[in-house]
Amino acid sequence: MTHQTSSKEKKAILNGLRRDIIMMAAHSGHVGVALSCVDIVAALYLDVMNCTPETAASPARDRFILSKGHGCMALYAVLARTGFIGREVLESYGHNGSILAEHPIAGQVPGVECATGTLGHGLAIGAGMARGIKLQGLGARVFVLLGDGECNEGSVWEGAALASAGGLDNLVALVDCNGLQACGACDEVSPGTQLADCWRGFGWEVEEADGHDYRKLVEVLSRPAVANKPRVILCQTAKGKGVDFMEGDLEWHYRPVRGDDVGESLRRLADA
Amino acid sequence: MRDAFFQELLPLFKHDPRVVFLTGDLGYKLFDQLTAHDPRRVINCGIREAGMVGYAAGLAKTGLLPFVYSIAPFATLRCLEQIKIDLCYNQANVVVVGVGGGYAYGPNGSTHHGVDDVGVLSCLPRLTIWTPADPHEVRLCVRAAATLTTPAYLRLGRNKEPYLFPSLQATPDISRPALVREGTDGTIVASGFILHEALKAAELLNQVGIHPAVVRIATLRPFPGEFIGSLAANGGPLLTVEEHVATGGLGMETARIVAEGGSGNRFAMLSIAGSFPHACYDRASLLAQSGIDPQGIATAFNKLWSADQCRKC
Repeated sequence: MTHQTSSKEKKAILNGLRRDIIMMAAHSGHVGVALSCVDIVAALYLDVMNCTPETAASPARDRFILSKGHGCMALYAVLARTGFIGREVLESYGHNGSILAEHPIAGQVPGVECATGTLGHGLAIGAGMARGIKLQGLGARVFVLLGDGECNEGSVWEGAALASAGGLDNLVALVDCNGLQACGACDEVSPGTQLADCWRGFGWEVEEADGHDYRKLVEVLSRPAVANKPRVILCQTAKGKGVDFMEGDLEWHYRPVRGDDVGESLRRLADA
Repeated sequence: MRDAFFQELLPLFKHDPRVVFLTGDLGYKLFDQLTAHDPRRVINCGIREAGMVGYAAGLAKTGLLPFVYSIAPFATLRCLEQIKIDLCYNQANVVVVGVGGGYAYGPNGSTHHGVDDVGVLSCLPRLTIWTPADPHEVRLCVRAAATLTTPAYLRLGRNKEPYLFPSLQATPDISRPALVREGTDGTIVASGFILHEALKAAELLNQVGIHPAVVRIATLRPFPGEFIGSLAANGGPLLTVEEHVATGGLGMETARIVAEGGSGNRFAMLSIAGSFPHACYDRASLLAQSGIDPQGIATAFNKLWSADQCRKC
């Protein structure tokens, strides 16, 4: 997708990704998670990152880590859209023997840099990649997508401190701020925690963006970094975005999309 | 062993630009020469062991060869999930270096003892575990690290372990078990620097006419099962000695192989009890309390040997 792509085409592509997610979600929960972060993942792969199936082994490629590995249906849909995996592979999601598990498997899925699923690991790994890229003069950027619930993990902040200590201006963290975690609202679980202040306090450049405004996301992500500072973009999102009866409903963190819900979800997407 | 590690790391660091040294804010002045050569490849990660291991995984994924360094329990149990997922599952060729394995940090207490590191890490696929016994073996481990494609754990003592082997050239291949003392009355098998106590025990046993062979194991994972199986098949009493709790260690794995092989050896294992010392003790006292000082090892082997003799009567 280029900047010249019409907004109608763009909407069709993003809707298509959501349709793929709905179809995969017959086999697992986490549909709400995937729908909240799919616009961000799409923006990265389609318009921001220097990484294609042809350059996937290049040391100079940009790298993406889905630290919130349970959102992987969004990543799989985008990887199929961009040609890293075949569309037919999507149909195997969650089936015995498939390379597409409910959290990305290490070394099996083209385009997946590392396995994730247990929260709080991706940022330190991404920071290490960014440092390794700088040490070797490879000239690439690293993008790490975290959840706002994931930011409960202390290891996130170890990674944040390591990144700012290293002056890693080639590292971008994106936080999918859908406001909900597994058993409640983030601000109920951690009242008084101000994420922007936390990141700022760890020495990061902090920006906020609408995580469903594709054009805005691309614009923010394409902006040059402040020298020697890692950057975080707090993306305001809605869990279940695109299917109105899922939006903001914690039940869709868990519930597979089956039976009448499939057709109904697809209809709501089409109407959106 | 600690000095040997840094002495061997220095030439590797100088000649292999992939090598990056990361510390969890430990090793004051020990890595100054690395820093003097290339400060960009020396990273004090602060007191953030979990972050350090993840960071190292990321470095490795860009083609580098990171060594992460801390005190054994902090380098292992503190960041266990990062070792499991970031290093083992994601196949990152990172060397985790734990100084102070076993009771090396005796008076520092149970927070600093590394008596469960091997057992816990033994659950993890793809992880090589090195338990060298002397400074020469440490050097060979560092050299072996240069060709790793998967992660490894290097369990060091502190810095007091004497040399066992006369030279680096005379040091046996660390990847295989080695006979370090000939004997005719069964075998003592030891892993790590407790080998020194095992050899002293063999001397004590010689004085009463018992001559066990002594075998050292410097690479504990992958476990040298075939070797242990053939050792057991030769018959004779078999005693394992480790400065580690029983669970997941040398003795249990040996016991499994002996039991499955059906060779019927008289077998015993010496290890550390699964409890926390109730007061401050130095390493020598803790080894004695655990029955893995030279006298304790000799007594255990004598008992085993005597029982074996009775069986033959």
